[in-house]
Amino acid sequence: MAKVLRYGEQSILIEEIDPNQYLKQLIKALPEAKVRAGLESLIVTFPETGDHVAKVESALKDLQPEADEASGKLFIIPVEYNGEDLAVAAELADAGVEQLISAHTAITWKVKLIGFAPGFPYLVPTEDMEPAKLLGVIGRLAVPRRQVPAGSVGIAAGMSCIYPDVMPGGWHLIGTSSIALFDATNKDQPNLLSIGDLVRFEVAN
Amino acid sequence: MTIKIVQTGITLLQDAGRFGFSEIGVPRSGAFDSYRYQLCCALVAGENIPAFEIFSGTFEITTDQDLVLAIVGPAQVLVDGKMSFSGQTLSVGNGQKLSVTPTGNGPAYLVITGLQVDMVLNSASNDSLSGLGPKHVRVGTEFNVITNIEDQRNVGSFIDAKTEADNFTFRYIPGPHEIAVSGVWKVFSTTRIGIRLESDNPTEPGSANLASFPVMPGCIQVPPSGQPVILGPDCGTTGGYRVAGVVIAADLHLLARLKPGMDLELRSVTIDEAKLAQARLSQLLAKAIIRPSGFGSW
Repeated sequence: MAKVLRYGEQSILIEEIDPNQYLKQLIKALPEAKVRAGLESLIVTFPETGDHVAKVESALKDLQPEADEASGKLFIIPVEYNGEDLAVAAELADAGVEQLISAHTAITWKVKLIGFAPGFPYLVPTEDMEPAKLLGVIGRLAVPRRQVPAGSVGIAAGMSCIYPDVMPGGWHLIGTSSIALFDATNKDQPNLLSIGDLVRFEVAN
Repeated sequence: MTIKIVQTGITLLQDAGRFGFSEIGVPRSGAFDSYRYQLCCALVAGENIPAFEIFSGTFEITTDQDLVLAIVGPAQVLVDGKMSFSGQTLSVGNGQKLSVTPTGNGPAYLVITGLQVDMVLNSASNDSLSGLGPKHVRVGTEFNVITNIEDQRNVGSFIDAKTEADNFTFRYIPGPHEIAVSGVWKVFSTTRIGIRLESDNPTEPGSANLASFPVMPGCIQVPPSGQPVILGPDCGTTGGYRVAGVVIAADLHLLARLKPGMDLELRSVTIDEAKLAQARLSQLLAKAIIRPSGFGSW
């Protein structure tokens, strides 16, 4: 059962929930609030300070989980596997560099969340296959980098990501992509990837 | 019709913030000391307009036209080398030089009526996490200014409100995670992304990190070290550390005035106390501007 927790004076955090099964319904059920997803959570933010716990609990009670829409658009993203942490990551996975690259390119990834920084995608494997298990043992860096180069492709905690720009980051960097993930001049859709989109990585030639 | 930057100090462009894009990872940003910023806007009878947020050093401009502007926050203000004042609406003439040097804790704000800034995603804020925002403030950078004769009527307005704090108590709503953080902490470092605290008696952070979940300015994150970090306006939109509480909106602006080595107190409050604090702050802001006589109070 999902946990409904007070989160500051205007928000509620719902933990232990599949956000994709409830996000759209909750937006409809609570039109006065803003709802935003985490990886395994949802935040509901009201326009005013108040005790909103009961309101969210009762809205949630009436909802049935909705099938998670599996696919949006498919993006094929070329990667130069030249990341600073490539060898270390392979070692952590008890694999060779080639094996790690094969695993990363064999997985069809799904955009689970756009968060942290503008256009930053959290990618999760669509299936729990061998390649996903191989990468799943690689955690985050003990000490995050202050500056990760733009376009870096990272892996951590069974997920993959692409850094849209230069920013701090704690994922193992395995490669570089030249894809433009965020265009602030495009106000209607600045982000290239959206929740639900699929991503395949391929070795750049 | 431009102003030109002669000296930058440590200065960023800010407005109220970049709202409505958090679901695609865009930080809120915006003026760190929102209280001083709002007073500064009010001095020129505006709101959510671009401001120079001057943290340290000297920010200096020249102008080729008459300007109406306001400065709020402890600072030395010089117009052509002559002492002028923070906390009021000034007029600076064609050919004159204006310099602002913060002298206390936290940034000073400079608002210039009619300053033209290229908005990025509906905001003039420079986001220090992602680099999103208008062109940076550099020596030689020029900005267009479009003034209006009506603006002159604000000259001589001043603020009747405190812009410095005597002590730093941050009231917070506890949760979502149960971690004890109330009490006195020392400030270890400060940026617009977050304020790192330290103590000889760190708290117990609880079990390992969580799957990334939405965070916001004011969140009191507790990393495995047990030394909390209070998130600032440029914080990322998601995080994986547990959150012991969220600083109430009425106290958030005080984060901007912290410096390494200072002591602060974290104090847990209820939703009702947060509401009351917000109401008091709004009341204070509403009464803070004294307009020059002859134009009524508006």
